[in-house]
Amino acid sequence: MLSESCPVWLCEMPRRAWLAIWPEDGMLQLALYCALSLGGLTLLVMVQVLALGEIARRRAARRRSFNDQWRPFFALCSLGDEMPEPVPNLPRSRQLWFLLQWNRTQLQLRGAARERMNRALLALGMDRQALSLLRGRVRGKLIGLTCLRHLADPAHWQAVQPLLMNRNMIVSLAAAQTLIAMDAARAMQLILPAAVTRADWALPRLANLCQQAGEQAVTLPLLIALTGSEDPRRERLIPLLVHGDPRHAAPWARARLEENAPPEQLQVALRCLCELGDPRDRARLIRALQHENADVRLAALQAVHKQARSDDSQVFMPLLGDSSWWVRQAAADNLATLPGVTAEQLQSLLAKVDDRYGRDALLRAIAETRR
Amino acid sequence: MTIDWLWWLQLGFILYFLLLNGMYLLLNVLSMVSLTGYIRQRAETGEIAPYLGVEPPVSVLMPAFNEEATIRTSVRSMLQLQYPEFEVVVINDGSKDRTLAVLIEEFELVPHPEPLRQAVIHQPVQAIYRSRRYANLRVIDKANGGKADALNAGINAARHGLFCGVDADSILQRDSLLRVVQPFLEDERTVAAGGTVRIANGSEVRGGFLIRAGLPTNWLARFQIVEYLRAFLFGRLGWSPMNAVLIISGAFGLFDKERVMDVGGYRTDTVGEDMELVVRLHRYHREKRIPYRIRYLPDPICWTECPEDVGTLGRQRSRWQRGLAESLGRHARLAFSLRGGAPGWLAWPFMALFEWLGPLIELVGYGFMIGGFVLGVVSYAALTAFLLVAIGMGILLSVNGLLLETMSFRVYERRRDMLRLFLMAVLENFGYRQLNTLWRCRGLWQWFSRRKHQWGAMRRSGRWGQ
Repeated sequence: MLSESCPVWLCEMPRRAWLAIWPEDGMLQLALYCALSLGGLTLLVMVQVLALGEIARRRAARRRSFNDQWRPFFALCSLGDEMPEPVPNLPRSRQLWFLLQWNRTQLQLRGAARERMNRALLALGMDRQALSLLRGRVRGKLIGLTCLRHLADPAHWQAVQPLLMNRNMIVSLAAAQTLIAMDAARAMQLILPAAVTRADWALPRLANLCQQAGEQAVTLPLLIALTGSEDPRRERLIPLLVHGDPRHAAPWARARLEENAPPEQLQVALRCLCELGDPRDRARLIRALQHENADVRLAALQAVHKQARSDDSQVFMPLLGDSSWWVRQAAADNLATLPGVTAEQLQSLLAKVDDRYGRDALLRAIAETRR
Repeated sequence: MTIDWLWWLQLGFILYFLLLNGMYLLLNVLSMVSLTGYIRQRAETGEIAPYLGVEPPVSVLMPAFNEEATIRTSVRSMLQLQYPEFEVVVINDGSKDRTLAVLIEEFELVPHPEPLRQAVIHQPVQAIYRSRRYANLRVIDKANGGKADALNAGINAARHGLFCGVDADSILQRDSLLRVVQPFLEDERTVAAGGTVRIANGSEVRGGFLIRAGLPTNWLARFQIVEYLRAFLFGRLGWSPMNAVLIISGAFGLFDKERVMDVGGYRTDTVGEDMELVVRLHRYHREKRIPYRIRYLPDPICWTECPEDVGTLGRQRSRWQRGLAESLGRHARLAFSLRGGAPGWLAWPFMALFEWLGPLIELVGYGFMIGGFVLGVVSYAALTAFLLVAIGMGILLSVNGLLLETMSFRVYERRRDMLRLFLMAVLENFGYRQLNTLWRCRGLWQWFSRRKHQWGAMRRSGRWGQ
C-alpha cells in the first residue's frame, strides 16, 4: 500500500540512481563498501569529537558555577572561627568537586587559615567522605589522601598506612606524604625501609619526602636502613643522607672517608661533612682533594669552601691546574670568595697562575664576584 | 607478461598505502591508550604542574640566527618560566642582522671573561656576555656554524646537568619546563624527554606568552595545525611507551648533558640534528647496554610560528625530509641489530619504509595510478581502491588526530574552530598532502646529491616581537 502511494520522485528515482552508479564489477563493489564504511567511520569520529567537546564544555560550565558558589564560602571559612551561614546545598553527586575545591583552597593558605578550613571540613562531616574515598578508585584515593594530608590528623593513620604499599606508585607516594603530615618521625620509620624494596619510588621523589619530613625525622631511620641490613639495594638510599641531620650522619660519613668507599658514597659523605662544617674534619676534607675521582675532588672543594680560611689560597691554587674543568672552576670560585680577600690579593694570585685554563677560570670567578 | 607486471604493480601500490595508513591507525590506537592513561594520571596528580622543590637545575639553550624580530620576546618569555633554578644561554650563531645588538640593548649585556669547556666541538666563540639585569642570562656570540654547532657551544657553556634546547622563534608555556622534567624525576634512567610543538599562528601572544589559542586565517597554517596534531599526538606518543621515540623536536627537548656529551654532542654535518642525536642516543645506550629511557610527553607545550607561504613551507619540509634521511641512513646499523630492541626492530624500519622512502613510493604511486588510468592500463576499480586507501584513510587519520586532541587538552575550545579543523582534515588530502610529498621528494634529492647545509631561513611575521 505504502509503496503504491509513494511518489515516483521519492521512491523510484533514488532506487534507479543507486542502480545506475552501483558497479557490476566485484572489486569495485568491495571498494565502494569500504569507501562507505570509511566515510561512516570518519563521520562517527567527527560526531564523537563534537559530542566530547560539548560534554566537556557543559561539565566545565557546571564546575564553574559550583566553584563560584563555594569559593566565597571557603574564603569566609578561612577568615573567621565561626561557620559562615547559610551553607550552600551540597548534593551527594557534588561531594567530590567539593573536596577538590577544598584541597585547592588549602594549597593557597597558611597557618591559622588552614586550621579554620580543617574545622569547617570536619563540621560538614566531609572527613568521612574523604576516608570512604580511600576504598575506591585511584582518582578517589588520591583526592581522599590529599584531603587527609591537609587535615594531618593522626587518628586517620590506620586508614592511610595500608596504602603505603599500594601497587600504584602515585597512590603509595601520596600515602607516604599523608603519613608524613600526620607524624613525620613515625612515617619515615615505615617509608625508608619500604623504599629499599620499592624501585619504582624514584630518588628525587624520596628526596622530596625527606625534605617534607625534616632532618630530625629522616636521620635515624635512614641510618638504620643503611646499616641494619645486608640488602644491596639499600645503597640506593645513600644520597638521601644529605637530607638528614649532619651531626648524626657524620660518623657514617667519616667512616666512609676512612675506608675509601666508592666515589658515589664519598660524594655523599663529603656533602654531609660540608653541611656539618666541623673544623675537626678539615684534614679529612683536604685529603679528599687529592682523590683520583674528579667528582669526589669537586665535592671536597665545596666542603672545604664552607669552612675556608683567609690563608687557604695555598690549598686551592694547585687545583686551578686540575685535569677536570669543573674542579678548576670550583677552585677558582673558592679563591675568589675567600674570607676577607681583596681585589689586589686576587690580582696577585692571578699573576701566580701559570696554567692557562686555571687562569681563565680565575678571571671568570673574579668577574662574577664583582657583579 | 606486461599485463601481469602492471597488475602486480597496481596491487603493490594499493597494498603499500593500505599498510601505511593501517600502521598509522595502529599507532593511533596505541596513542589513544597511552593518552588516556596519561590524562587520567594528570587528573589524579592535579592539572597544575607539581612543584616538588627537588627539580634538577636546567640550562635553557637558545640558538639564534637572524632573529632580531622575535629574540627580545622569546628571551623574555624564557626568563619568566616557572621553574626553581634555571639559566638561559642564548647562542648568537653569527647573525647578519641586529640580533646581538638587540640583546645587548634589551638585557644590558656586558662582556664576561668566561672559559668554555671544550667537551664538544664548535666554531670559535667571539665573546661571552652576561646580563646586568638577569643573573641567569648569558649570551654567546660565535662564528656561524649552523644550529647544531650553536647548540654544541651552548652545551659547553651550560652550567647545569640538564639542558633544554629551544628555538629562538618559539615560546614555551609557563609550566613547560616543570612538566618536561617529570620523566627525569620519575625514572632515573631517563636521558631525554620531548614535548609537543604546536602552531601559534592565529593565537593571541602577549609578553612572550600565549594568552589564547586560536586558528589562523591562512589556510596553509591551518593545514599545518591538523598535520602537527597528527604528527605529535600519535606520531610520537604511540612510540613512547615502547621506548622507541626517534624524534624529539629541536624546538623543545630536555636532555641529560653528560649523556649527550658522551655521544659527542650534536652533529654539525646534518640538517636533522635533533633526530640524529636521538637516534644516536638510542644506538649508544643499546650497544653499550646502558639502561635508558627516552620519553615523549603530550602536554609540555611549545608554541611556534609556522610558515604561511608556499616557498618557505616547501623549503622547511624538504629540509626535514633530508634530516630524516640523514639520521636514518647514518644509523642503519641500529635496524634489526641484536641489541636494537623496539627502536631497531620497530621504529627504525617503520620510519624507513613509511617516512624515508615513503614520499618516493607515494609519488610514483600517484603518478602510476593516475597516469595509468588516463592511458587505460589501470582499471577504474583499481584506481578507486587506490584513492580509497590513499585519501579515504588519510582523512580518517587526520580526523583521529582531532579526536585525540579533544580527548586530551582541548586547546581549541570553540566549536567553530573544531568544525574548521574538520574541514581542513578533509581538504588537506586533496592537494596539500600531495604537495608535501613533492617537497619531501625534493628533500630526498638534496640528501642524495649532498647539497651544502645551511640555517633554515624563515619569513617571520614578527608579530610576537611587538
